Amino acid sequence: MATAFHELPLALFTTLASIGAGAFISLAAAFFTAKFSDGQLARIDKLTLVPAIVVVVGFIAAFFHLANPMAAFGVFGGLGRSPMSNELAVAMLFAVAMATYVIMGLAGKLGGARKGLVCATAVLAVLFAVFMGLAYGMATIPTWSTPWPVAQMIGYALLGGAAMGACVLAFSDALDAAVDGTFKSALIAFAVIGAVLAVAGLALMYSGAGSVSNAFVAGTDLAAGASGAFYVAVACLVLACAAVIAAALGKGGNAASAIAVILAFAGILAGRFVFYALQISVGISF
Amino acid sequence: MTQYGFFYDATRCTGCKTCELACKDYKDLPVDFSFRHVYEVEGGSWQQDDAGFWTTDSYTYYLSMSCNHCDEPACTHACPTGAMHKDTDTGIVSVDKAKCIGCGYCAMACPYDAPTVSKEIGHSAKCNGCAERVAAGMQPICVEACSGRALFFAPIDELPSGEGRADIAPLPAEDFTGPNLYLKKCVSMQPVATDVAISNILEVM
Ligand code: SF4
Repeated sequence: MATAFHELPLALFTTLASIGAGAFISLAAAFFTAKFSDGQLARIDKLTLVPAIVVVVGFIAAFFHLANPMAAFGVFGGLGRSPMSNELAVAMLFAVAMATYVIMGLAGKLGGARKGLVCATAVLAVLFAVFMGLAYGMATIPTWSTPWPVAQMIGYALLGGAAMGACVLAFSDALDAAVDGTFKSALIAFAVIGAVLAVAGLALMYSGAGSVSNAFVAGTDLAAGASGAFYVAVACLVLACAAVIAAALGKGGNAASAIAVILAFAGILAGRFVFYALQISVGISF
Repeated sequence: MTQYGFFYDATRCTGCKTCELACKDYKDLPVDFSFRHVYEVEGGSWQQDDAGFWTTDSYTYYLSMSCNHCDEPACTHACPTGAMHKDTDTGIVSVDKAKCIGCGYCAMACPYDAPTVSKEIGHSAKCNGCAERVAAGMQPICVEACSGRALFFAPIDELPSGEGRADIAPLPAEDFTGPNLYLKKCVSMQPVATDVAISNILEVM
């Protein structure tokens, strides 16, 4: 787990970015399936600043990982070749769409562009999650070079995003109106599919690590060291899913969605620690 | 392109680690990291037969290794900035400090543990084949310092003949990156994926 704690800034980045970006997936579904009053829309647009800030804090956390952040403008130099450059390019596209949407919303200028813009932001949020998962696809690290990191990141974005999206709607006094129609099923589907992808992706990676070893470290030892974080992650992700379902069913008031966000944050962060703890090379790694 | 590479003669190496220390001294490296490591690899077991006699197939060997300046380096593939790059004339893989953001992807990706990245250094750092010495017609400092004459560095078609690229435990199969580390093996050396142990793990990590 020492490796995992060393990667705390990256764990925070991927946690906050997936929750914040994922919120736009749920919000897009809400705008396509529910009717909101002008007052509700104005409040939703104001509170949409929260997931945007969460994403920005995630980006700032990532900077703390770098030994030389002053050269960070060069990160797109490996576009097409480096999975990290690809991830950051998609992150930038998402950030531009998100900023445009949020700024126009705060200025009350979304009007007829709302659905188109939120839809583009949501699609880019999904792509961002996929590329965050692909960022660690290194053939020399067999525990990471699987589909499971991508499944995890999509799951985190769907579940964390459902929690954050429900929270934005709840604190805008708009969740009741939203879950009156098909958005209820959409929100539950995002939470359940997200939880299944996240937990299954994490569990398959965790169990698969047992069959990987090199002369310096055994996957079974790494998995044993990360077992506490693994069980915390699974428990928090399942409970976060339950809290989103409660919010979607109109139970628990605003607290249900707020608790869902806290549980999702704890579950995803623990899941990210497990991910970094399971780094094991085909050759030399400690 | 001329591809430079190392040759390691395991039949001559005594495991004295002069190569490692000469490198640390020449590169003025701090105590906690090194561009070259000498791995002490061991394994095997003892068996007792019905008559009570003990036999063993235990073995030990040394492996002195730094960056292998691979044909398909995992580090350059992962590097987002292009700071980690392969020289088009010599095939030497080195870091452009001005471009490096210190993200550590190169260190994660390299299966030979060649790059080191830390906040204290401020960028990735690794063996550059003593490019400045080689350009001046000299050998890398590790090669020159080796008292057993177990190390060589040259364009790969000028290296002594041995048994080809490094494909021994604890290294990965050569086809991951195409390491330009060529070997003369000693009898103890074990093939890739053999369950060997490293007896000086604290020294090399
Ligand atoms: S630490 Fe520097 S050299 Fe290594 S991958 Fe990052 S930018 Fe490239």
